[in-house]
Amino acid sequence: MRNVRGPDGLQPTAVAIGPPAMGSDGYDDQLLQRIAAGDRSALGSLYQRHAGVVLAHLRLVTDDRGLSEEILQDTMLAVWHGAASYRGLSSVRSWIIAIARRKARDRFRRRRARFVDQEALVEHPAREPGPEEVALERATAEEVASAVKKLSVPHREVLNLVFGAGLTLAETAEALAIPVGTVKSRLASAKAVLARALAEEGHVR
Amino acid sequence: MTSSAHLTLEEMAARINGLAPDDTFRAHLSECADCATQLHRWHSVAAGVRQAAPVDLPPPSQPLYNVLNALNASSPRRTPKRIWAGIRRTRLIAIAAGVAAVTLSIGFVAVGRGGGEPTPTALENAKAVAATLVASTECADLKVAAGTVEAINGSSLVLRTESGKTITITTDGSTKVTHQVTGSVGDITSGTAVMVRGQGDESGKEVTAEQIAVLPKAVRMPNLPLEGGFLDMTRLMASRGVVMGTASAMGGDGFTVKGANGTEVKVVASSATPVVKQESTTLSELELGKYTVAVGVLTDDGTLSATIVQQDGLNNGAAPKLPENLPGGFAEKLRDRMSGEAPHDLFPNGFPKGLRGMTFSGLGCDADSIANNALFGSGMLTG
Repeated sequence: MRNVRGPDGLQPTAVAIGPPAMGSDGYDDQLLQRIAAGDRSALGSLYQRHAGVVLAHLRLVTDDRGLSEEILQDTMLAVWHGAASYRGLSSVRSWIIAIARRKARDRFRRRRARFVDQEALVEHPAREPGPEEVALERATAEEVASAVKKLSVPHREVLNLVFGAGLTLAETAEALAIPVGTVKSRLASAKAVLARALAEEGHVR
Repeated sequence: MTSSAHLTLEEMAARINGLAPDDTFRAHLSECADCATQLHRWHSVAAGVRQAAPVDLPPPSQPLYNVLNALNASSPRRTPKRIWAGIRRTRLIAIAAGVAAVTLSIGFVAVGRGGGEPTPTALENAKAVAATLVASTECADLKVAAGTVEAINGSSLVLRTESGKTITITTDGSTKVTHQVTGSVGDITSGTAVMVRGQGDESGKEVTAEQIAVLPKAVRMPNLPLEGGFLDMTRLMASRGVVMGTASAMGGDGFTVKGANGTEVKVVASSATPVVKQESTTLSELELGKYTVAVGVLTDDGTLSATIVQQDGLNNGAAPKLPENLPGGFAEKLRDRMSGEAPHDLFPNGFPKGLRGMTFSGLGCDADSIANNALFGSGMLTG
C-alpha cells in the first residue's frame, strides 16, 4: 500500500509504510508566500505537512528526541523569517530539510559536541554489489532498521532523505548541498555497508 | 522507457516511493533478474529506514507552540492592520494544537474588538453601553450576555459581566429558562448531544469521562474555523480530554461520540460518572451568584430582551481558572497573562474568558446553540 493522493492532490488519503505524501508543491509554495506575508496559520499548515518527516530525520541523525524537537523549532522559526527567500528551486520539503540540517549543525556547534560535518567527510567509494548483499534479501525490517541506526551520519541521512522523507535524488542533493552524483554513490555505499553489517550478523545463505 | 533498459537508481527509488506507477517497469523487471534483485534489496533497505525513523503523524504540537510563542515575544513582523488577523490565526493554531480548555475560544467577537470599556460619549447611549457588554453572533439580531446573577426582579434579572459591569435581561412568557441539574448516564441515548470531560489518550481516540454534560437536542456545534481541516480538532480535543458531539453505540462501558467534523471518539463511562443536564425552570428559581447566559435582542433602552436564559450550576462564577494539561511554555504564558505581568501576548485583551473567547461561527440565528455554546464553552474555561 503506497501513499495515495486525494482528488485535490493535497491530502494523502492513505499512508501505509511510506513517507507522508508531499502533495502538490504548488500548495506548499502558496503556504510559503502566505508565511512571508505574516500568516501564522500557513505556518501551522506547513508544519502539519512536513514537521513529522523533518523530525523523523532529525531523530535518526541525532538519536535524541528532545534535541530534535529543539532543532525543529529553530527550523520553523527560520522558515518563518526566511519564507520570502525561498526561490522554488527545490521542493519545499527539501528546502526545509536543508534548513534543519544547518540548524542541527548550529546546535551541535554550540554544544561543542562531536558532530560530523558531512561535507568534510571523505566519500566512501561506491562499491559494486558484493555477495553479502544477499543479506538484504533475508533480513527483516527490524534487523535492517537496527543496522541503519549504526551507520555513519552521512549514510543514515542519505538513506532517510530518499526512503524516509521521500525526496527525489535531485531534492536529496539539494537538501544535502552535494551533487546528484554524490547522492547516488553515497546511497550505493550506504547499502553496501548495511549489507556487510547484516552479513556479519549471519544473514547470509 | 523501453523494456530493455535497466532501471536506474533514480527509477528504483521512485518506484519504491510510489512515485512511479506500478506497471511502469513491470515488463523490464519480468525479464531482468538483476534489476528485480536490486529492487528487492532496495525495498529491504527502505523498509528498514522507515522502521528506524518512523514519521510522526501528526507531528507533536509543542515545537509549533514554542515557535508561535517566540514569534509573539519578538517584535512581530506585521503591520498594525494585520495584528488582529495575526493574533486570531495564532490562537487558532495554538488552540488547535491542543489547548482543550480553551477549545471553544476561537475567534474574537464584538466584545474583544470593541475594546470593552464604554467611553463617556457612549455612556450617553444606553444601547451603546450595553453593546459593549454583549457578544455578537452571526445573526444580526441576536446578542449574547453572560455573567453572574446579581439580582432577580420579577421578569427581569441583572447579570454582572466579567468586566464588572451589569446588564439587565428582560424575559416574557416565551423566554426559555433552564438551569443545570444532576442527570445520569441513562439520560444519554443514541443521538444525544453531549460534552464530555475527562482523561484522553494520546491518540485522541478514547476519553475516560470524568464528567458529562447532556446538551439540549437543539444544540449545534460551532464551526471550528481551521483552514482546510489541517488538524482534526476532535482528535486534538479528545487527546486533551474533551469531546463534544453526538452519542451513539451505547454499551456497558460507555459510548461513542461523533464530533462536528465526523471523527468518532470512544468515551469510557459508567453509571458512576457524574452527568449534568439543563432542565426547564422559572426565572425565580435561578440562583444568585451563578454563571448565567442570555441570548436575545438588544433594545434601545440598553436591556437584552431574552429568548433564552440558561444557568450553569457547575460553573459558579465566570472567573477563569488556568486549565490543566497545557503544554509547558504555553501554560506559563497564560499564567503571566492572567496575572497581568506579560507585556507581550497571545491575548492582547486578556485571557479569553466568559464570552470573549466564544465562537458562534456557523450557528446563524440558532439561539439554542448559541446559548449552549456560551454556557458550555465558558464551562470549559472555568472548570
